Amino acid sequence: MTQAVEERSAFRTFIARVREARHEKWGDLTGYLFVAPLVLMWLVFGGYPYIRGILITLQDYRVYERPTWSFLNSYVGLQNFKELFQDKYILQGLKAAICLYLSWFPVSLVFSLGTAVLLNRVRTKWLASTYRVLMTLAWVIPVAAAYPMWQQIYEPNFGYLNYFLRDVIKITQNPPSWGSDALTYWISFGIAAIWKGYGYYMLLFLIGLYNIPKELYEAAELDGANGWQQFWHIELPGIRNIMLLFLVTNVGFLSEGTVQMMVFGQGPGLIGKTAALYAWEQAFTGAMRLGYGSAINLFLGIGNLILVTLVFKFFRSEKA
Amino acid sequence: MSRENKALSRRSFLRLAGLAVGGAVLAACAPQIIKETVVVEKQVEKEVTKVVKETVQVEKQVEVTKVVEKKVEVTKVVEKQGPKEVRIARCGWLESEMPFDLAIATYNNLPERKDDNVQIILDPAGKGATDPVLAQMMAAGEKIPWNAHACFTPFLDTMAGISLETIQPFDPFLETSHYGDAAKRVKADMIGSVKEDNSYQGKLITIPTNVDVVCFMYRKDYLESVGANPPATMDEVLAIAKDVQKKLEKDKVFGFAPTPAVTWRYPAALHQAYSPADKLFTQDGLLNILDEGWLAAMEITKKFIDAGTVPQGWETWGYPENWKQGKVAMALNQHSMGTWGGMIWGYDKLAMMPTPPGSSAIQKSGTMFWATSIPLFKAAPYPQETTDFLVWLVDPDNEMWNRGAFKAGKMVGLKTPYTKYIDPNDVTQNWALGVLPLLEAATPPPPTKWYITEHTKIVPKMVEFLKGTKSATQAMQEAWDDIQAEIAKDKK
Repeated sequence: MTQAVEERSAFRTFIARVREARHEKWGDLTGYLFVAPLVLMWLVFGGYPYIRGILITLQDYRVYERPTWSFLNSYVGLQNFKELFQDKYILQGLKAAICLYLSWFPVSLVFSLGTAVLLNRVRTKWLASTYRVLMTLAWVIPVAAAYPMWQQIYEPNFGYLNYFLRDVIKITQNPPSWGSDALTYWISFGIAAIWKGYGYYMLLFLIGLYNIPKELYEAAELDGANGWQQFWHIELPGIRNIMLLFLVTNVGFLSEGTVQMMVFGQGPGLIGKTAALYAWEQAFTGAMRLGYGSAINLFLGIGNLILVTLVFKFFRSEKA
Repeated sequence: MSRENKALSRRSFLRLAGLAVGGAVLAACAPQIIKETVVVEKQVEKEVTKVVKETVQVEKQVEVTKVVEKKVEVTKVVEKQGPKEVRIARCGWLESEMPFDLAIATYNNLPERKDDNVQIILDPAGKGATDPVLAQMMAAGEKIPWNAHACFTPFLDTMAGISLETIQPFDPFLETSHYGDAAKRVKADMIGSVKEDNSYQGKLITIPTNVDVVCFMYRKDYLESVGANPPATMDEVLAIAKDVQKKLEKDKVFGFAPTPAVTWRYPAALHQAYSPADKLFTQDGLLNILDEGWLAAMEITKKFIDAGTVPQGWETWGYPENWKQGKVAMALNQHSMGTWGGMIWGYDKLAMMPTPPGSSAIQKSGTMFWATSIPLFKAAPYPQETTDFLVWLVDPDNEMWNRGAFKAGKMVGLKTPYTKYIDPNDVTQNWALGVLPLLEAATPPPPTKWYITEHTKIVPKMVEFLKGTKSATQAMQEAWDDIQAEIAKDKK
């Protein structure tokens, strides 16, 4: 009898230990219930498209041809990837993506950071608010309205810009064709893109600057630090995380350009056709080769991932 | 038990709440109930139709009276379902250019709408007939809320719609249309070229709401200022362009404005000034860009550019703003560009005519045109109601729609409205009488899925030629090779 009780007791202890171990490893199971809807949502709207997208890259999936929609019917292995490495338009598209990025990114970084630093030094509250609103106005204008507006400004014959150059300040009688000229196309786009986006980035940097404790500025002033030294030794390190965010969200330029180029126009001889736009064309025009278009996009996505990783690595090594 | 014991602990509360939320999510995910509801709705509608047919016999046969009673009961059920929402995927630009909103408001309030409960709705969330998502929804057997798409260009989109199996012919629904006479008029009165453009294998696959025709347009006052008559050849166009530009230099008026980077509005149309209809397209339905006429059209375009008679920006979209501002004397573009200019600086100064021939072999140039049409979706929930609306809309007897189209500077696809509604002495409308013969004689582009591919391959090479870096033959040969390379990928 005693032995039986002891055996039961040992069994209970064992079960209790198992439960405890499971609790330690998995935590309170109720918590899973709370996150379940979110996980479910992600699996349906996030996870599945990722997996399906990757599977499509292995197919000769053509939108026009229903039999190719089935994975087994149109499986081609890595054929799409082999093809993209031999496709001359990919290289042209990557060049366009680099031009697009260089046309706005460096200037936008300097301009938005500089504006944020200046705005941070405005002491009158209502004036600071007014500046903030004015600076972010361009950002809230929809892309579909903003870029056509710039096309009006750039219109070579009677656009505002050339009218100003030719008839108002009269510095030239043959102003450039801007968006229609290969030499000025990227500059034209860059100015429009900077104007459109810098308000947002300025706001981002400003939030970072507002979070820097005032004591640091006071201490620096007591030590005799000038404005530049305050910027270099207090503000720039103070917005390090914001800078990381700015770089991480913008460094993935390889897949850029689809919307911008469609709205702004692809320029003379379609020089603005980025690789991402070319992928879109492959997927949704002509033979509608969605498999190949997806493969190009996956390739560009992996390139972006490498760039983001490099940014993270750079910031970590600096921290170390 | 104490009161404290009865109270829920925070943990228990959260657990219960979690269970409740989980349960609610699971309940919300159950799809079967919705499907069953849909089936019931369909059954009820079918029953109504059947009963109505039997009611005709009631006058003679007393025995069927019971069935009439049943009809009353069923009708009540239908009323509970609310109006039949006949959704048509919306097209923003078309809605802004044509009187769609007014037409729909009128139609929805017609006396007969009180009986059939049909409400036409332009749905901004609607899918187009060439949208792969729509095709996949149909393939998966999902219920499609939309019946049609208000922004379909047959020559660009028909093959996509056919291949994706998203569209179906209108013919059977025209036969049974509520507006039977109007349906007959629509079929009989459609202009030949437009009918061909909107048909596939002899069946009417789309109904055209309006048409754009590429034509030669000029400012009468500018040409008169240099004493020039309307040009009879492309060489005369060049000569007049130089004269006008010289004369109106102070006003910064350009002589002629081509848009070589917009394939349908210019090169494909100008080609017809140099080649007869049988040379325009290859047997595969591609643009015949290696044809001598096409190359000749490129050469004359370069002459205009080299002579400096062309506004800047021809490498891209071109000059629409300059034309509308009255800063261009002559142009070759879609006729709407002409009428929009006329609306701004006066129709009395506008003239539109066939493109002057470029070759002595051509007596009268043909031209490009495109219809903006509405296709009927295969899985449309209300195909008959949609057809009825479209028949009513484009019917030559619909004065509001047809007059509205002409006022908007658009052409319509039926012939009678031109004689019925246009006053030959009214300059704001009589331009359409001049463009009509062009439309009637135009060659519809053959159906192919390669037009956009052709456009994207031709444009860069065209610009290279016009910049002087390549000959016309070399540029078009390269474009041709690029197009063939794309087509070859499809044949793999």
